[in-house]
Amino acid sequence: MTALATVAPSDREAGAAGPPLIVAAKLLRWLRFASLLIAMGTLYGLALPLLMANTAVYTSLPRQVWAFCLLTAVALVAGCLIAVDRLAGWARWVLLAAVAAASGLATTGIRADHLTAEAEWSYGVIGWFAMVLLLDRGRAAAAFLVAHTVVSFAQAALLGQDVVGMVVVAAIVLGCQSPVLAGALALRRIADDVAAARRAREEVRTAEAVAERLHESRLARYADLAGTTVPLLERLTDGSADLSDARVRADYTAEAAKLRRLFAENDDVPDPLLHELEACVDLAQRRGIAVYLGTCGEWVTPPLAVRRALIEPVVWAASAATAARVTVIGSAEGVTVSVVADAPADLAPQAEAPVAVTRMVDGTRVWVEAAWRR
Amino acid sequence: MAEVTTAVIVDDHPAIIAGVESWCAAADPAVRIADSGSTPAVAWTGAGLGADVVVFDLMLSGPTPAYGDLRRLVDAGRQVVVYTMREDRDTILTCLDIGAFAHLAKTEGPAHLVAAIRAAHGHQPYTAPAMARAICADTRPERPRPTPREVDVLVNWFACESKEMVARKLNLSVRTVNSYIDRVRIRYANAGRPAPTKAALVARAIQDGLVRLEDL
Repeated sequence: MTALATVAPSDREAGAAGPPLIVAAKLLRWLRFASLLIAMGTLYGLALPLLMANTAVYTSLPRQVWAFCLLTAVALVAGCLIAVDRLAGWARWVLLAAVAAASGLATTGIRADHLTAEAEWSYGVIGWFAMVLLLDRGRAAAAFLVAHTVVSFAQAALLGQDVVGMVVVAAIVLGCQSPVLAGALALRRIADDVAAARRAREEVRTAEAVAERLHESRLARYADLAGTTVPLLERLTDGSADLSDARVRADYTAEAAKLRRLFAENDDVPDPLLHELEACVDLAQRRGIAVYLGTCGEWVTPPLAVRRALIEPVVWAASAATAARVTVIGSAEGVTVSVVADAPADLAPQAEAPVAVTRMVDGTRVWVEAAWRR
Repeated sequence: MAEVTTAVIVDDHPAIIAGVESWCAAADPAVRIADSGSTPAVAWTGAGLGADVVVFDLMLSGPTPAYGDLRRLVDAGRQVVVYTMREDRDTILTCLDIGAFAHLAKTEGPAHLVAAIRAAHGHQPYTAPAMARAICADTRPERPRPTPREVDVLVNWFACESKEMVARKLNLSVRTVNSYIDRVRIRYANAGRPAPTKAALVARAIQDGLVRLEDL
């Protein structure tokens, strides 16, 4: 997995814009350009003179030329891909196969006794190309370098060559390559750390924002209550409320239902509308009213203001004399809360845009419907 | 209807039996309870065997609905009014498909049970609000398709439980409201698993001119 890919999804989850990710990707790209430059430098600065000086010892010069051209092509294509940030996926593996093929061509087109000598120009070059292609996948790069070294040694040993001389060369080549690889790995670790720190910071910021919103909505709710609940409570404490009057009692019941609804608004539930509605129904049931609550169909959760207007009929039904039938009917177009109750018709809620309210009186029963269309 | 309707109650709750008995006794004309008991055996033996209607609790012993017992009663041609705590869509639709005459939730008992028992005796459709809701919420691919107007009537019937108010709201006569509801019920009786009780309901509806053969 690339550093880009490991950081990107979690970063998105945290909702961060991802500047550390961009920084890490940029650094990685420059590191790749740098290794590409080294690869090209070794290819043209070191390998090309060796190739031209030893044309006589090759069993197949065309193979050497092919290998050289192949590496040049890989360098060009890789350079273009790095420039547009597309050096990944299958393109990477095709290029890696080309590098391996070049190595094969170069080492099979030379006399065995020159395999460990300087005429074998490809040994010090191949590793740099692998680094360019695999820099973001530290383990794969290391594995390729080791594999290349092992294969080179095995080939030389199988063809009866003395490999002691090769050890020094291998130590020099790997000694140059491994710091670059270590740098890439460290870079990736730092990028991961930065992303984690950023996520943590985002979480704290989100929690703060949520707390702030909660506080604001709490203040708003207290402001709502101050206008309606507080006067009722004042009249209750100074004894001016006439509780023998059914209307007065209905006022208190409705206010209690609103309080229950407000408390319910704070809860984190999958269906807020039904939850807030149940809070009012619960209050009515405690008053001894037989309440039927049924739902039909599905609905999307309406905004808070709409939910309040939709639940108004249920608040009204809390002051019913004996029974109330509360139904919620949902469809793709919207949701309707319907209440049939033997509650005072003139206290039934009024329409409050965007919620349409209809009323129908049938003897002691009143049918109130609050409908909202999306 | 001149003749007395008799019913047998299958319910494992004595309070429910006592309640149903008192509703039936208080009805005018009264519905006579032939027998009652906590297992379906009461409907297959003695006085219960001859009862016109079986009031059947779906949740007898254990947590699973007694669909098997219901199917045996229906296949013997018995008119069964399922009277249960369950009022979810799938339970209701399953009972209708098996061939129960009607499905009443226990919350609907006081308002609908006696009327449903009478209708069952007369093979006339009876659709309680919870049944209307289940039909509206039916999403099975092979379901009968009510027209939008019929769905409107069913939904409002579920919402207000008063055909007079549904009629006023939709500018229809109560008779039309009833015919909309009954037509949908008959289409359900005509769909799914064949059962003698369903066939009888459809035949009676055609006889009464409630539906025409080509509507089915």
